[in-house]
Amino acid sequence: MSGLWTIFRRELAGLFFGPLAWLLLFAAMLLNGALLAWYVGVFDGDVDFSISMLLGHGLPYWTVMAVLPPLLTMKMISEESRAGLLEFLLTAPVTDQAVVLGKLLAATAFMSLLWAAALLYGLALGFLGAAPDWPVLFGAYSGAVLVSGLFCGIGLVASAGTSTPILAAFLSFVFNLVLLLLPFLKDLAGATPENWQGAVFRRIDVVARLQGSFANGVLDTAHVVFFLVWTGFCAFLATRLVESRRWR
Amino acid sequence: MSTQGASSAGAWLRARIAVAVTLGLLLFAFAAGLTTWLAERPGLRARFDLTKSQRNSLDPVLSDIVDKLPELATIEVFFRPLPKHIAVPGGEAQGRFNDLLEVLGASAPEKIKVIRHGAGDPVSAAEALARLRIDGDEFGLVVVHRGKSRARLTLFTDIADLDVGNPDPNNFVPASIAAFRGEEALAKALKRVSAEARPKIYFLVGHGERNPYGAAASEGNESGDLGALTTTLVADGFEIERFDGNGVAIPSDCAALALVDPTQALSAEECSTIFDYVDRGGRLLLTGSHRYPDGEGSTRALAARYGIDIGLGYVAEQKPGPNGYMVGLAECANIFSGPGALQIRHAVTEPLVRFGRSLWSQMARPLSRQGQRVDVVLTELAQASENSWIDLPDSSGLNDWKPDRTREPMGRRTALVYAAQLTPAEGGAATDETRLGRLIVIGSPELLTSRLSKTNKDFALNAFNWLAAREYRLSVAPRVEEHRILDVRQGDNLVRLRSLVVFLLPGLCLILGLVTWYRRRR
Repeated sequence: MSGLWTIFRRELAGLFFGPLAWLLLFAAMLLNGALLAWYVGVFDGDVDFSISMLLGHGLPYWTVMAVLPPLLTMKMISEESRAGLLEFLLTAPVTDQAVVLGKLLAATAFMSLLWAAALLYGLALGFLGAAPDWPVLFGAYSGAVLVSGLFCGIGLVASAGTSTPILAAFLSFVFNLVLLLLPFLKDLAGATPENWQGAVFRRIDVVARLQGSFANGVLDTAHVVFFLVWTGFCAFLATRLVESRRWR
Repeated sequence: MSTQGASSAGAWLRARIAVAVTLGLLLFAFAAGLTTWLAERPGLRARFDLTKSQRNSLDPVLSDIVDKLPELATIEVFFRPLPKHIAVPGGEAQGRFNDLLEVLGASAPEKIKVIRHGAGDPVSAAEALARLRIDGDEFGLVVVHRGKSRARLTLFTDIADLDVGNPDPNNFVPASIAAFRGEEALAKALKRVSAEARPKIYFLVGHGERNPYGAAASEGNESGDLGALTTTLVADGFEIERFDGNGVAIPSDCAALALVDPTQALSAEECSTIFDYVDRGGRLLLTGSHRYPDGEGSTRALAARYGIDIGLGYVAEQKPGPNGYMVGLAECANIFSGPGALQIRHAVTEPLVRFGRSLWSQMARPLSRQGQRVDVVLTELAQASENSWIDLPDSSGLNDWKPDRTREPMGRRTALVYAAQLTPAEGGAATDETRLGRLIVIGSPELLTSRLSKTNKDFALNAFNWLAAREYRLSVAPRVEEHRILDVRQGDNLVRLRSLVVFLLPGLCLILGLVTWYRRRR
């Protein structure tokens, strides 16, 4: 895909050459570090459980997931569109898919870097004599990266749909919130394990997918496919939205 | 072409592109949904357990049983909040069992359906129990069912062993889980409900036996009939039938034949039919009789063939009273066999010993070995205490419930229940153990009645399950819970951890950011 690597490098450099990415990284690492120390203290030093709380079972994890990707992706397309840079990019020898995929990969790579702190925490715990179950930690980390990819994809769709970054962040945040909270409304929708509403709620329950597999030390191909396919759908939708600027 | 025409053509083109793009999006969404659905199909889905302890994998025994389930089995969970003194171990047992159900449900969603009845909705939980015709349990229970077959697992009997600790404040030891056997209990329950046919228990009638369809004690009638027993057996997956032995062969689908307190003699032909049935691998439960204890066609005569004597008189015990031990009361015929008086090496009584249960016999005929049949292995399942004696009727035929050393045997542990297993004849071919004859002889017919069912229900269930070869001696190794623990109570581990993850790592990140920002400015 022509230009994908170039776009990816450009976006990642754009993130790390500015103060925002470092600030977000610092804040997230501070929060996660403090949480890990707290979890280890509260759960009587149970290392694996503390890490699973950090990577999927705890509320702060989902708060970071709902908030950070919209902030990362809000400017990626909408700001360039507002500043008129997108037209230059679209006339450059890169495909629309490469533009969107490069930005999506850059945002996901940033999130991966953020969650990679958990691997450093594993090393730190190992240094203190309580090394975690490494395959489980890597599994939970992979899950965090896949979920981040989906949420970054949603953020890119919002960014491609509007020319105002703040509006894009807000739309993306609202959609993330709906996605995370929708399963709690299943009782209102009359969903039971037997009926079709139940089947729908079960399939869109991102939290249960992560907690029931990656965060629990299970690699389930069904969940891997779910995250990859719907991230792909978000990329496709964002590409079509970018492309629509040519004919709208 | 006019400007208006060109504009109209442009709008038309844009509309066509919009429709094509929308259709493309819908097609992609449909393909994504289909792929997600396909990825969840059993043949296309793969799960890899990443944990070192394999806690997310089923034990091979349980996995094999689940694979062989002919259709969907439902597991209904009725856990509830526990009293304060056992809340911690109880919560741990419930949590571990719930984790096990998660793994089971995820491993075989097409074979296992889990329904949890939360403590927040006691009405629907009670309705579900009534629908299943299962009695509740104060500590919570799990019901496994498929079709009409059901298996009931209680939290502190089947799923976990509770060590109650020591409540004495001076020497306090908190309650804890002594052993967690959730997987084994679940394997046995699934094995039981996966059996295609419901085993049939036939109750012999027509000789004044106890009525198998009498009122159950749970219905408020403390009856001497067998209603509570048959209700329990049906809930456990058995079918109950009457068998009128008069000239009729014992049905081929008979899993066990029960003969409870006949008041009249069985005919010679009926006795012969029963002997033939047991010799061919049949299963028989016999009790002593109050009204026809001895003579041709009595249960004593039937048991004697297998080396068991159902004696005359009743087993009696001294009863503690305010001024020491008392005799001369009818209560002396109530015999409680505690864990020390039950056989630990037999499938029928082993669980009762393990959970500290007792067996309540009332008006029990004394049992003893008679002769020695080499092809019958006899096991004493329950005994009376050393303070017991055999109270024989006096010349007027009445019992005085007082020990008489001159004519009444005393000072020994009298057997109350025997189990007999027929073995292949010497030199005979090795035979499948489940097809050899089995016998349980109970001295007291009252033991099986609705009146004593609350105490004796588990024994009765175990007895019939052993007779019907449903004891399922599955061995599922208890899982060892692995916890990687950072010792936070001693030393400065927590302080060092906090220094590393709260200060050092974010600090490094901040320094890197500042360096980048500075270099960019220059």
